[in-house]
Amino acid sequence: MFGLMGKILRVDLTNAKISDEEIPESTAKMFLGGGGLATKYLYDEVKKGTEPLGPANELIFMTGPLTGTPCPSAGRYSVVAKSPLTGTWAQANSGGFWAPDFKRTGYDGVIFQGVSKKPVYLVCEDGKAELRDASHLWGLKVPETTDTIQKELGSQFKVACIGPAGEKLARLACVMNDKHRAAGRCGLGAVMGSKKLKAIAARGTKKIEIAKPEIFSQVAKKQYDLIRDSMLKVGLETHGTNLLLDMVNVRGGLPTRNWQIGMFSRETKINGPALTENLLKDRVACFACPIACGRVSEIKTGKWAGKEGEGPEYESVVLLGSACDVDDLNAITMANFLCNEYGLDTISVGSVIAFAMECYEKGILTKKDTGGMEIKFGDPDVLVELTEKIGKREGIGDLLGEGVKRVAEKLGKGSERFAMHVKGLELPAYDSRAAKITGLGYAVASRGGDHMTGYIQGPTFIDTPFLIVDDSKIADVYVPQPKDATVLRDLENALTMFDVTGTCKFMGLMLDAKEWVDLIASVTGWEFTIGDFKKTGERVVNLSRAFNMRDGFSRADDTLPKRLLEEPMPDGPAKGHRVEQLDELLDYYYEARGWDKKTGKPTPEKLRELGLEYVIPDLWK
Amino acid sequence: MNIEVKLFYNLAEYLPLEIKNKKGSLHLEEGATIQNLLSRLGIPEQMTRVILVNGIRPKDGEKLQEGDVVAIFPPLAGG
Repeated sequence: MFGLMGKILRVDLTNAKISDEEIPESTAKMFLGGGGLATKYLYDEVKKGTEPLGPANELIFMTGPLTGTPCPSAGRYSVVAKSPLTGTWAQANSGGFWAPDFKRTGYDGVIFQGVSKKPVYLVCEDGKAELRDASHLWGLKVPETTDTIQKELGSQFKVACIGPAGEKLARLACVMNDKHRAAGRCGLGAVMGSKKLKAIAARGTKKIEIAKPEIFSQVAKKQYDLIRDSMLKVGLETHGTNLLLDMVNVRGGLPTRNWQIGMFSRETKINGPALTENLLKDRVACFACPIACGRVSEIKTGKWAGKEGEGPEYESVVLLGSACDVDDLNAITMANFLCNEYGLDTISVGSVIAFAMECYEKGILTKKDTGGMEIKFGDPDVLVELTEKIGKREGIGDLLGEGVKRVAEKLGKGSERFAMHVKGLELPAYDSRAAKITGLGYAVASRGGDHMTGYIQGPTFIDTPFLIVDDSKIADVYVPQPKDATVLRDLENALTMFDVTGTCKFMGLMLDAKEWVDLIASVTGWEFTIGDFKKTGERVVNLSRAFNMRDGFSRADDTLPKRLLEEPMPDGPAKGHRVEQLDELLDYYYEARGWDKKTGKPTPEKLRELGLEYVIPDLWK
Repeated sequence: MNIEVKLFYNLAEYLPLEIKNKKGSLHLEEGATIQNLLSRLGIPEQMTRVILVNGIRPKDGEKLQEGDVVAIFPPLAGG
């Protein structure tokens, strides 16, 4: 095979046995790689009703056919499993440098099955893979884990690992790679911890074969140059993703005080320029990326002075910052660093702390519950202390690390109204009352309250069209039309292809589908058209949806927190607005998707159309 | 009438010194439009992309009103 290495590793942790197998070409042609191929294995091998932290769940790491090739931002990989946070299909995706090295050892991905008796880590080199004892690594934070492994094996080894949070099965735990990059969402770090798998170290030098190298280089170079000379690059490189903060705040959609309001009055203390001016030490790029949106930050003043790491990103700044009413960028950055060190999702951690602050404000949480801590909105020390407690599963942090949905279920007293999640996944940094169609996006994404599946936040909050689809225009952010649901569908199908090929979604802003189709066709040597591009994306979205439907999810779960549905935005440009049209939007969306309106299930016709006939009996008895 | 102007990123250099870094306001004649404001600040037409009045995209030729907050961002991507 070209593009793909054509093989995956299968690791039976229960019996400490490793084997490898070929990827059937017919499967590779239908799902290509990355999150798409991983979803196929997950659907087929993880049965309905599987306990996410139990031995029957699988943890799948998968690169794409473009990963590791000289294509812009082609260094990504997906982690796929059933999520312990949501009970749904889950995919987390990350950049950095681990994925190209892993792929160059000769494998597109690895499926972990069962549970190891003792902590282990996987070491991959050209053509070989071995499980080694990780008892000396168990308990170490992410940077120490990485350093220790590199000291043992050599600094050319790239490391993906969990920190103490994943080891302790915190449902907000993530997988980290290259110390500072996160496959952040959905608690997949806890799945890894439940299997007693600490890390995957990889060093590969095999060649990734490209079917038509001249065409490939030509298209890749053209794209690279286009991005390199763009305003997008200038903006993201200068201020990082935190560039977005002002844009969202000006529109009145910046989650503040646990989404009580949509504007943060002290935005100049935490926005893009504030980070650049006060903490930025260096700008970093992922593998083969012309943009360099990554930040190396150093806290220069105050009690955490001297602490250094990467980030914080936009989402982290908002959920750890304005959502907690904290305007201290040093504290926000420190909390971000702690999340990276313990291996935690910054969005979910910020959200659960903000939730705890509102519960404290309303007397639903008291000092008795918090061990004497006064969990007040705006307190930077509480932000940092709680983040660390969550990482250690200590005190109130033990409960908070379960995620906002479970904490609200436990505390009750009406707190469910403002537990800002969908299906258990905490919402990212855009308030749907200021752009209603984003609410539909949160409600229907297969992994829960997510923005990366469709990123309809681009056309709405940051007024940025995605050239990867024909038409991403949203006419009115407050009055959604049926057409908007079609735009969401098209964006989901298209952006999924970046998860499938192992590339970065920022490329979808600047580059159109035709170029991606040329890259995929020239790297694999397969015939691949724009129609195939759209259909493959659609297939993956439908299969991930089917995974959930098979487990009993339905239209009833495609919903939003009561705060967004029923509480009008109190102030700002979106004043008076709530997402009251969700039912209508679901109807438009299911129609556009070819899904049954009553249940939200992909219909037999749609499944047949996508070559997924075998799924029909699982959904339709 | 007085309006508040927020210019972001590389556009910030067009802010008149007297309101740079301040939550100050700009004085415009009654019935002034976005176009008038852009001319007043000396921002070339092709430099602008996203213009929001009170957080909302204005209609063509819309007249500004007392107390309006006008935010202008440079283009990020697309087209």
